[in-house]
Amino acid sequence: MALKLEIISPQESVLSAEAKEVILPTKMGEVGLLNGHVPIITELELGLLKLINDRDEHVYVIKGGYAQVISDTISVLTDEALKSTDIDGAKLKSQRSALEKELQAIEKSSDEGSDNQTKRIVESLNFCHLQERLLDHRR
Amino acid sequence: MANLRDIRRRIKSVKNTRQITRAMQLVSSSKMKRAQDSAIAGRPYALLLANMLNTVGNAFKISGDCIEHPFFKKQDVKRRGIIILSSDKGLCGPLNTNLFRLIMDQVSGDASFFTVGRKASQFTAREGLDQKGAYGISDKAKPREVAPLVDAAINAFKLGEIDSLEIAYPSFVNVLVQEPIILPILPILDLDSMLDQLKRKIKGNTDEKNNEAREIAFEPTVEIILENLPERYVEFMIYQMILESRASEYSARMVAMKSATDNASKLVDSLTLDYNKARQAAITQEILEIAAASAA
Repeated sequence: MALKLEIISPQESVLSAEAKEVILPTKMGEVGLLNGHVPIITELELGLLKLINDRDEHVYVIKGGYAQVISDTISVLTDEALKSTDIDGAKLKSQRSALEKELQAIEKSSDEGSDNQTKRIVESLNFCHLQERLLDHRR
Repeated sequence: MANLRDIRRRIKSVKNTRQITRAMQLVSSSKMKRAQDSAIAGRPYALLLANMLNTVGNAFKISGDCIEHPFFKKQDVKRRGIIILSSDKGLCGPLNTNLFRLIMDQVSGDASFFTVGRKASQFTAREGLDQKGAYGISDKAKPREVAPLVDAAINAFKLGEIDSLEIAYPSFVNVLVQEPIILPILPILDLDSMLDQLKRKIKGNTDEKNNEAREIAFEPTVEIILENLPERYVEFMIYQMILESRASEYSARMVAMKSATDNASKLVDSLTLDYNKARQAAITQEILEIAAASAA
């Protein structure tokens, strides 16, 4: 039996598919999962999730989160996930400039309690950077 | 009998009003659809999140330890913290009024309020309640807009400024019925029942019992996972409720605007009748006058 992988974000179920091997970007480094893996719950980092089958390989960019592996089902819980082939350069650019503006505005005002806000924006920016890198790589 | 021109003018203005209310009805119905869709789209996420939290909780139960986390600690509630979700605008029937009445009925003693929407902050100011913060969330209700509210509420809970966190909002029963309720969020005392509730809500998705006998490993450690997972859970729950309250708001507005449109139509009908009567009376009057003049 193959591994079952599902990626779920608040907006949608991004993916539900079968795979032979899945590589997760965890806080402890990349972890490859095969059939019969020990049940585990792990925290994920911003990074690339790879889904490997006999013939093809898919890459997803994920923005942190958690993964649960129980009875050969991998459930990935993430804020945002995007298939590498679905990255849209123009959209990415506008997203990034909007985020940068927001960050500047917050740094200027610098009232208390904005720490979390800054953290979130930086996270989103990193998510954009990673997508850009992937896009450059493909060209 | 009223002046013909006056009646004509009134018919025109009522018709204008009807057009506006009908437009608002249509706009609300499409917005309601969108809010409902995004609330439903978030359900698998909520379920998985609760499931994971439950797994972590169970792991603690097995080892016999208590979860050392402020979110799970049972404590005396001296000061309640309540988030009120209301709308910014009115014209949505008794939606906000019902919610505020429920709060006045059920909340006595010390309580601090976080308000979402203009109506709620007006309400707390009017009643002289302690308001810790007022937040505005746009129509689209993006997760990022919700973050400042959640941060403030969770911080206040962690610092002990409030001993519980509850959320008061109009829950969506169906398009015609919205029921105001106050739901406890923190501390999390009974995860199992919460999970059951969630599963019942997402009908047809009765998760298969996981028959994994092996002990679950946590990476890096349980403590580190427990640091952020509950917070994320609370944040997402609040976000879901905001979406639901949005759906309630729009459906209430849709119904209110529908009845306003119907009333306007009725008024136009009766005014048209009056108008025709007046017109006929005027014609009869004229004929009588002509007949009287020619007879003389």
